[in-house]
Amino acid sequence: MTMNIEDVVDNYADHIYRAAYAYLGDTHEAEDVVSDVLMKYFSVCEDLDIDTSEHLKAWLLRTAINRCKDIRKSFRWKRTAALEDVHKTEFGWTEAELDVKRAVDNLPEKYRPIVYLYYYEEYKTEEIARILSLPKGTVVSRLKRARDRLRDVLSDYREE
Amino acid sequence: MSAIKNMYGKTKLSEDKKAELKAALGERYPQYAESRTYKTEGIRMNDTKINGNSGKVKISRKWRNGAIIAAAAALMLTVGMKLASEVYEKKAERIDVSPAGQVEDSREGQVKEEYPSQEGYIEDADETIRGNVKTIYNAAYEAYYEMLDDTGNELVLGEEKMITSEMVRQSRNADIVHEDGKCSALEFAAAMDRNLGGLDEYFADYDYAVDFIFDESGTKVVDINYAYIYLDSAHKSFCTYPEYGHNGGITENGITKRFSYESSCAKKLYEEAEEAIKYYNENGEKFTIDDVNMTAVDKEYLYMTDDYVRADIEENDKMRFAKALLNDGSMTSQLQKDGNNFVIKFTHDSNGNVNGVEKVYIEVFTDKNDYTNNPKTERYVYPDENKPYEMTVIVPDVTGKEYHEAFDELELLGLFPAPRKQYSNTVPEGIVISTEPEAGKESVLGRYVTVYVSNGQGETSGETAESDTAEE
Repeated sequence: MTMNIEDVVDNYADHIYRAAYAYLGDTHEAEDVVSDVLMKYFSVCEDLDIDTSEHLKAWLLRTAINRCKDIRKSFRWKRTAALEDVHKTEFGWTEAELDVKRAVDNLPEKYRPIVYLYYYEEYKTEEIARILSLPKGTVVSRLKRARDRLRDVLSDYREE
Repeated sequence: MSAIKNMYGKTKLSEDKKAELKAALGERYPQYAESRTYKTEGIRMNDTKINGNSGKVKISRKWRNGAIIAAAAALMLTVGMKLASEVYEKKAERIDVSPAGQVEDSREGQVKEEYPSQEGYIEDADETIRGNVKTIYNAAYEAYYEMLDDTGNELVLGEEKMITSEMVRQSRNADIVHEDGKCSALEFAAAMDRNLGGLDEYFADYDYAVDFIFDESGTKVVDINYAYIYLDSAHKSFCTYPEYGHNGGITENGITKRFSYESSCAKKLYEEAEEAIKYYNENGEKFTIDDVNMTAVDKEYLYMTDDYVRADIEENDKMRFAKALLNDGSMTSQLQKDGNNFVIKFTHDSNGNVNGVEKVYIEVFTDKNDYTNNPKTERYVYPDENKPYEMTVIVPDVTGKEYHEAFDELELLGLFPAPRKQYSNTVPEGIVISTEPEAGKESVLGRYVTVYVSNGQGETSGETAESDTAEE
């Protein structure tokens, strides 16, 4: 496991950022989460029992998602969460991708990190269960429900 | 489903942000920067440095009781859980010694340096226990959303008003019959058990419990209150998630009810503000601020309590003033815990120093789960409740500033910045081009201000889209 700032930022910052963005849908907050998580990591890294890079990534993602949950509870979040589509041009998404994003954003919050971890990070359901400390059954059933809800918009995308 | 992958694939942290992050991390943790490899000596020094920077007692609370925790941890390793819990019990006794009537003391002039501590509550239990209590909370939260939130069921608790580890274990052998519209305590316990599934071995040694926040009438469950892990067999000392005292519920006779706001809350806040001014005046402290709002209180609170103390939080006058408002049981604390908003407008003497309270506005968010629509709010004003809620703020000139600076400036005025990126050939990336409403115009407190931020020199707009879809 690496404890070098350069390595950690280059290899993992985007992953943490995406997970936080997937959960919160807000670039500014997601940036703060990256900073919080990495600060946390370097303050405790010598005490952590992490041996592989996969394990480290899982630890960081898990910490990020826990941090997101904290933020969702805060006043600050309630106030800024009402913004919609302000990030339209942010990442150069196409219209079709924007539709996908809107569909994902419309999912209840608990589905979003699962969708992200499964489709983007390509974790297996057992691994997602470990990262989110949920039982595998819950992950599987949520994934199924999320997939049902996303089916419409995603089938449109395919035909394009 | 590669659509999702493509969409997220474009979500990246900018190179600038990464460089900024590396610099910030490097400054705080120089021993991990570049390829230099300092040995462990750095770690503790570094932590003191953080404490020094922020100059605050609260942040170092981990170290204050560190000896006890270290002792407990060491015992846990060598002798096992039983002895460790004795250490906790001793600590609980010590807390017991402090007079219970202290809360009743006149609050004026008492600036808090500590957050409320309940008898027997162990703030800094072993990290494993704190992790586990969070997992229990999460399991209850998941169960709550499964059994109640999506379904419209109502949780019917018997006499107990709590879900205990006992009930969770019982639920495994019980025949659970579901009735529409209802969810029995045992059914809830079973749902929790499912959500703890596979992790049970970690919890077999603990007695734990979860309690709830009820609505104003005390009948309907509206939220999870705390998850508890008891640290001794007599249930005298415990550890909770969230940290004890962080929830906004009011506990009477063992039932926690949601705090109900009424018009007197603004008056109460008004009086608290006056007390705070009196306290500061007596101590010779002067403030030249115009107002204080929840942003300042929230930041101060984070500053004093949060584990993730942000490098960019610098205490300012508004935050310092907020400290005197954040007393145990004060309206300010209540609003903070419930995530609501307020503004206190001050009057000033001829030197521009705060000498009184002009007006207090309170904004209570009424439907907390509805995050896709604009939040609905209830407003209270004191004095003069008949006048409509109106507070004008002049939008400051933030053009040419970094977005983060502009964000903080607007937020401190009680405005809510909404960023929008715009290509610009003249303004460098990350710098504010303009705002809507523009600088000098009036806006109303709590409104959004659209901040147009430069995205650098844009090529043709279709270009980025093309290059990324090529992967498909």
